[in-house]
Amino acid sequence: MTLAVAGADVVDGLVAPRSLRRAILRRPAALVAAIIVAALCLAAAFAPLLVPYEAHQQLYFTEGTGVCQQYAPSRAHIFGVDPLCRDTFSRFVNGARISLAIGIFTQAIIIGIGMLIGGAAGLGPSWLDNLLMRFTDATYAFPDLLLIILMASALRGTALGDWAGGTFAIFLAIGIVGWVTIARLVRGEILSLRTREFVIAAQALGATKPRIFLQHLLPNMIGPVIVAATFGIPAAIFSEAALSYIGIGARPPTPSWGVMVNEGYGVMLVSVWPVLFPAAGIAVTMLCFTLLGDALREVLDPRGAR
Amino acid sequence: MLIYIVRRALWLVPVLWFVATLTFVLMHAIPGGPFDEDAPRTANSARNLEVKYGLAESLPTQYVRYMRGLATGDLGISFQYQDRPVTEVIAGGMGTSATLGLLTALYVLVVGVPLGVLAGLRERSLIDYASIGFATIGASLPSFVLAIFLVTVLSVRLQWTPVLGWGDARHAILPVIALGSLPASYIARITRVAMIEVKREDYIRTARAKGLRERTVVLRHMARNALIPVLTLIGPITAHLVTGSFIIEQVFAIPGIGRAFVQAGFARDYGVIMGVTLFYATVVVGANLVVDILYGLADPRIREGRA
Repeated sequence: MTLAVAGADVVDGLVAPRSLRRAILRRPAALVAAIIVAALCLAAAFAPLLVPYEAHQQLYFTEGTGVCQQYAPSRAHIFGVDPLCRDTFSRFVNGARISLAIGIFTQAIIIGIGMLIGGAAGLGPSWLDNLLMRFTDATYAFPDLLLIILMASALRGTALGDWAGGTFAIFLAIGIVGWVTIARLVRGEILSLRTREFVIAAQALGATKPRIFLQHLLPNMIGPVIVAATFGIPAAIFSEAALSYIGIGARPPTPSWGVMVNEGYGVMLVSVWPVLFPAAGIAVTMLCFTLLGDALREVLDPRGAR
Repeated sequence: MLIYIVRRALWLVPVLWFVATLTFVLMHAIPGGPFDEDAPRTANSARNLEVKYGLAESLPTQYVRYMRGLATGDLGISFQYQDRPVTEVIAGGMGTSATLGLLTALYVLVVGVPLGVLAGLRERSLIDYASIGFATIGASLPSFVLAIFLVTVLSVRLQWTPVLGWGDARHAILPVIALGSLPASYIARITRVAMIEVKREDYIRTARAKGLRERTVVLRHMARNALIPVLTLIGPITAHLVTGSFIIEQVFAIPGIGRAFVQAGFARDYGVIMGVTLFYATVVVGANLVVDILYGLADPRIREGRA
């Protein structure tokens, strides 16, 4: 959905810097965002080495019931203990794994479907273009989250839907639903690039359609696609967390941040700590990817930086 | 102009047909039915249930029956609320959801537009940076996380507002803020950019040269033109309010359509899922239609082109 995907505004009148490094370095916010994203990715990749406990491990077996309800951070449990007496930090790091995997890998599905549909529309005969674009318009009319809930509830209770604690169904639903922006972008880029001299020259030299696409069109439109995908990451993270929070996405005891927020919400009148860490995790991660997207857009898609 | 409106309105039919078919296919293509998670029963009684709810017939028959029902405004029956028609489930939540949606739309306009206008007027001032900050954070703070922070501070710590429920005006405060802050920040951003562009137009200089008061220049000449792009946002914002309500109604236990939809999702209540999907698709497509018509009215070039 445009609202969730669109990033923060770029300050007007900035000249697009030449390199990504400069774009990030000259914006302190983007630099901080890049560092946080890198740290989160590392933490997610090496989660098993980093966490002191298993994500599902209930501490009263080993540490006695006294440790339960110690929601506030302490030396032994730096993010505190959750309402089911598990180490919040261990769950948090595993949750980062789920959120980042869903955010980043869904973009692969989205780019794949989007390029296929947008590419076919842009390169194919005009009846195909018309058909695909009407299909795209109809899908666009459908609010994303509505379709994701629809797919997730259709998959509910099946083997596919229960795989990996329900995260796979959500992953699939987000990936299948989100391609509209990319498809439109790719089609638009192809239509505008197709009339440029270097493409016409290639055509005149007898290059085949696939060759023109791979050699001339693809390298020129990859920038805007990457930018759109970067803004797609926080949108996907939001969808997963929101659906898991309301109970339609990942299911307990999966340590998804959305599930953790849901579990923490139950004890909020007693302590806000169990809700605070996963909620902050979601918000900070989404903010960082949005800021990173802004910086990327300046470099890769200067025209889009309005 | 009339032809343009009719053509846009006719486009609704294939879109809604597409939505209905897609929903039907999704709901029936995947194994498992709405009664799977109920108590175990004999093959015979399971069969009776399926016959009663029309699930025993072949899929094409079910499809034709569903489509025929839709044409007459019949959305079928709910599977979880024993024979309650889906239209009744939707009508039951509509007042609540519409109230929430309209209050949020009001909040979005009252916060977003003035913030954008002020920020655009005083570019690179404190209020400008504050509005950019608000827009950035608003765009990446999920509604339910914002809701939780608001509940923590305003309901739990300060005890100003109730935590849950729906009834008097105080119940609406937190849901409206949680649901409306993202679109408000979006409107503020678009308005700000539009104001900055409008500010440099010749007719603004002319208005000043005529000696008009600053207030008149800003409100009559700048804001009015800067608000035209905001029109296009009606579509996406309606979509946002619809999808946002699924989550916010669940967070605050508000008995609206969104909550009914999410609970139908748990129960695999095909009837309600398909009905609500179709209902909301109609709302969103309808909102887009209104935007197109308003735009066609505002700018004749649009209706000339490919509709």
